[in-house]
Amino acid sequence: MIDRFSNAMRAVVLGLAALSVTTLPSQAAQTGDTAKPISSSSIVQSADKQFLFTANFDGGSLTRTAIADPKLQQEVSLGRDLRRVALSDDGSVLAVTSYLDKQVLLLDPDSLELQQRVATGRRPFAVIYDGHNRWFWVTEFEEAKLIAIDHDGAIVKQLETAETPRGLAITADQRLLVTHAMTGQLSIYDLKAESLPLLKRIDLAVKQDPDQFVSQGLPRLLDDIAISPDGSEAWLPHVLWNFDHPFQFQSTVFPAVSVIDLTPGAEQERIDNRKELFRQINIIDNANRTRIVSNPADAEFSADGKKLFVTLAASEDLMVVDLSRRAKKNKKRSKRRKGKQSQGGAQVTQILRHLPGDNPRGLLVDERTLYVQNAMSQDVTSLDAGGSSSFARVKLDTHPLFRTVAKDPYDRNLRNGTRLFHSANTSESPQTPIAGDFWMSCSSCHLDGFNFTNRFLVEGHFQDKKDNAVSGHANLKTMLASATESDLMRLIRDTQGGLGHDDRDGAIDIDPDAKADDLPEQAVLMAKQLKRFIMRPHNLPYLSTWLRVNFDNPNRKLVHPKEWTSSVACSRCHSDLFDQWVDSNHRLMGESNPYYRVMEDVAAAAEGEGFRRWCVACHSPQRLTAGLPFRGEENHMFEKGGTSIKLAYEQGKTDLDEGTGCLFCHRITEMEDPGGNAPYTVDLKNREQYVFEESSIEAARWLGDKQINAKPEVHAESYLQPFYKDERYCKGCHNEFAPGSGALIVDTWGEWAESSFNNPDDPSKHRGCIDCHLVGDISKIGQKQPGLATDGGAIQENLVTHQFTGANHHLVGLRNKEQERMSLELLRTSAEIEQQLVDGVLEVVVHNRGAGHALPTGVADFRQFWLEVRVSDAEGNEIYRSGVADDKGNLPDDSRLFMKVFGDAEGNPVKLHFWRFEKMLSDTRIPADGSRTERFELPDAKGPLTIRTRLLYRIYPQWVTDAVRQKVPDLPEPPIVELNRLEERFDG
Amino acid sequence: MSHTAVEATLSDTPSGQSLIKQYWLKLAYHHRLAESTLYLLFATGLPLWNIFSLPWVGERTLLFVHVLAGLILFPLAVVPFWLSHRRLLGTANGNPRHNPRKKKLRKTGQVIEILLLLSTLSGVYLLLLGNRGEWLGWVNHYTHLITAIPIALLLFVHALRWSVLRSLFGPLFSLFSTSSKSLFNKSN
Repeated sequence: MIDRFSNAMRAVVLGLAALSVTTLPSQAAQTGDTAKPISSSSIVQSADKQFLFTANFDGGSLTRTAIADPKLQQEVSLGRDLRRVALSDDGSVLAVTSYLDKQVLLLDPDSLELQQRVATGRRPFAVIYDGHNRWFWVTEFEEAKLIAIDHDGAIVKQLETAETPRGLAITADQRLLVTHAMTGQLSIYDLKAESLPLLKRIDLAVKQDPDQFVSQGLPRLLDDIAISPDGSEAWLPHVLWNFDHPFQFQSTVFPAVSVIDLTPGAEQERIDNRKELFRQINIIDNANRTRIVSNPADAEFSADGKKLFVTLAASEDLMVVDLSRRAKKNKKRSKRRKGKQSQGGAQVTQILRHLPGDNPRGLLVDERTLYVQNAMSQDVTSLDAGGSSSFARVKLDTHPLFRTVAKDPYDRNLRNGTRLFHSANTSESPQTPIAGDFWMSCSSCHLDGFNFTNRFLVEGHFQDKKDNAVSGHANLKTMLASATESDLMRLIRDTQGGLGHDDRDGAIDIDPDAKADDLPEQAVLMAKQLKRFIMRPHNLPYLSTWLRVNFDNPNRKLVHPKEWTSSVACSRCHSDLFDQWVDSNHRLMGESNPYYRVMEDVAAAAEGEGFRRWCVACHSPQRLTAGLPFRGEENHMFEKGGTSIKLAYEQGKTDLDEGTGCLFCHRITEMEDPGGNAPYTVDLKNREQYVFEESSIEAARWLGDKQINAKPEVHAESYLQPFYKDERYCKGCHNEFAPGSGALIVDTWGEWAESSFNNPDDPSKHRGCIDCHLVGDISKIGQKQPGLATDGGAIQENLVTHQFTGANHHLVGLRNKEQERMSLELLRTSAEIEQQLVDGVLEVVVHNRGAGHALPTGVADFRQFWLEVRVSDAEGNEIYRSGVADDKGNLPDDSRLFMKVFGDAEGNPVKLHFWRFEKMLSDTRIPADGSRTERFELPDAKGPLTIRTRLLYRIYPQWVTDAVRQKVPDLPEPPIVELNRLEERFDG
Repeated sequence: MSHTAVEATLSDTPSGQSLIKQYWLKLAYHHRLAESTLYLLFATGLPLWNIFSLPWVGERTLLFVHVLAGLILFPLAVVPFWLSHRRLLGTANGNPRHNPRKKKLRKTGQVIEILLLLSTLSGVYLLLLGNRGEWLGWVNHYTHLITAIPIALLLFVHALRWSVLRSLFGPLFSLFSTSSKSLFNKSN
């Protein structure tokens, strides 16, 4: 009886449960809620599960493949780099992000016919369909924005978010999750509210441990999100950057998967549950070593939520986390475990080594089948999940299930170079591996190659510059500039433990300095292929610099010199601005600057000819892009009013402006922020030119000019970008880091960014670069200064002039006394001094009052900025002096100079070889808003004492001028300039 | 231009005039060329207005054609026709050959002349000095744009019976010209 009753009750309960299960989804559909959580991916399935859609990364195409018969396949080429794909709930629209082309493409899922190209901000990455609002969400990775695109291709919503938004997911209760790749954050937005309020932003925990071999560091390279089927958790694969010590491949980058508790209103990271190496990721292999994995990419839960699968893009594995044995939160812990931290019970139970494809990134789970999309081998692998049991093991099913790209747009060498950049698979080439023990690939730090994310590498460097200023690769022979292949082999060894640095798996110990004939062919080929990838147009086409030119043909690297319109052409309408520029240091900072000329030669002699590109990209970019050689003989140092370029223009000759001409600065159409080194993209072809505008026939050119006059707004728009007023625009060349080593040589922007001058919240106090350096009247800095930009045009309320007034008064003064006067006036606004005598000690305080950066900034290892002190007793006898130059202009060794001194790894001053900076030997500069006190111990003397203190400045030290004069004998002596002085009497 | 008007112009021509003058007068016959030029200037100029935001490749072509037509065709085709035509625009007073039946033509012609003068002067200003953002540049810019629309409309009405567009819109024009004839007849 009791059994019958209990059976009946069980039947009722089961029936109710079944009823609730069947009715819940329909209720959800009625309320518009998504039935289950979803996340963005590069591989998605059609609603009827008949087809797979893949965004094929740098294959540039989108493919639709019938699962039952992969031969039924359709592929459309759509761009250069397609990253993520999403399908609308009604199956009518397919959206795909075109990462490098700044577009989202909307297609018909059945025919793959392109319906719309939606222009977006820089680097649109993830795309996901929001069924509640019936639109697609897209992350703009570089732009730090989220946009919503409707079925018709209209951008219906746009909002700013934290930096580097990357992956997207939507919970069943309509919360939008956004990972921030380079800041280690997760943003949670409420999709139900129209204003899309930010519910929470979670900073993933940063762990530090004195033992560098323990998993720790900054959470970085966050990307895809996996939400558990019950919606309670989000799992985020990423890496940890541990840059607080010199590079060592086993202690610098760690793989991790972080766990976020998604309880509404109480979202937080479960820090102790993070899956890390040697803890929850600890599979021991046959050689009794923990299997190292690298670059966790995509993660997906099994349908029952008992397992999590993670692709490991660099080590090329699949990782399985078993969640079926997780303890309940409130369960009493056993005595044995008391006091230990809970790790959530979930552990990695399998590392399927290796997946057969190259660079597995996309992952899709469908019942027991796992589809892995391999970005480099451009195919899809199917795996059998093996069931939900804890003991089940994932097994390879079919490889390749199908190829995603029929014809790779990359040739074989470039494809291999790209693959190597993203690989840490030591087994792939055991004798000449790209990485030691599967630890890290180039892309473990250089996400997607070389781009704005480099800034986060520089910022992630936490070491004291006095100990180690190198944030990248040390021990480079030619700074990657000349013997590039040799340096690449060196950094594969020193940074990634490859090429025999770690020889436990049978690698040959490679000597990068050996002759090519003595090196394994495979190692040389690897370096060459890697170089091909590095020099791709969207990476570093000129290798040592970040300058790029926008070409239609990806194999083209050089501009024809005639494409560089002479700045004289601009003077026809902008004569005032031209006159300001033509004598300025921004024009003659190339070969006509004797100091620069000598330095470029020194750099080339030390690192090889290729290293000139690093200098030339800022000092004479037109020359670099036109591939013109260094002549070493140009000298327009004394030229007034641009005589030589005017003459060349009149004669119809090509004479590339030295320095930065009008067209260079005004045709920079894109700017990244890797931390400096000319990160500009110049576009000469897509400007909106008028018919005959640049004709060599005078009458035709007149007609061209008249057309500009008649409709000038198109012309103006074509040469102006909103970011020209952004301080980061100047940062591109006024911040400087050493190629390869990443040592920050000049950080004028960083000095300014931390100063009170950077005050965007209060425009009346904000002073950017142009507010002080591009004004016509130095005495009126901070006030609006009206002026004319165009001859006969409207008076602009606050004109940005083009004298580029800076600290180099000397060279500009050789041709323009007015600009020299402005330069000195600016210098004299920078600092104030005060002094007092305390117990026979003279204390001189130098305040940085007027400069929004350190004093001096820029090449502060050369600028001389010092105190001269002379003390006389009651009889007028000089009893003490400091900082007084001798007859030859040399300063005494004990002079109090405000400057930086760079040293090499051994702590020796690098002098002229400043790019070899590895340790800061001293930094006595005066920070913005700050001051520095110098103490001078005076001898006993009869008072009152007369103390004359002067703050002096000289653009270059005497020894540098002497060295330059050996090559340029007619170089005038730079004067010592008095910036400030005090003369006071003190009772002795 | 009516035959009467041309005859009148020719009969006023002094004997022994220079070749240039003859050529000038010859141009004065070409009402179709003058009318076509004005339509061409209108068609290439109006789309340059920012409200239309055409692709630049189209805009630059239109601008080039517009400036070139303004520089060459306008002085060669429109100006001679216009000047030789002016005497017909006057009132009966002092004009012995005034035809009182063509009041409508006279009125539209007078308005066209004023607008064309404004448009020409502003066009010359834009060509030689341009709209560089100062107030005079903007005044000329908008004068040039705004006058173009009534010029085109009035020209259409004014030259309806002899219009160059007749061949393009034949049947439609016959309808218009019938009503136009009746209009003129009524005014008679």
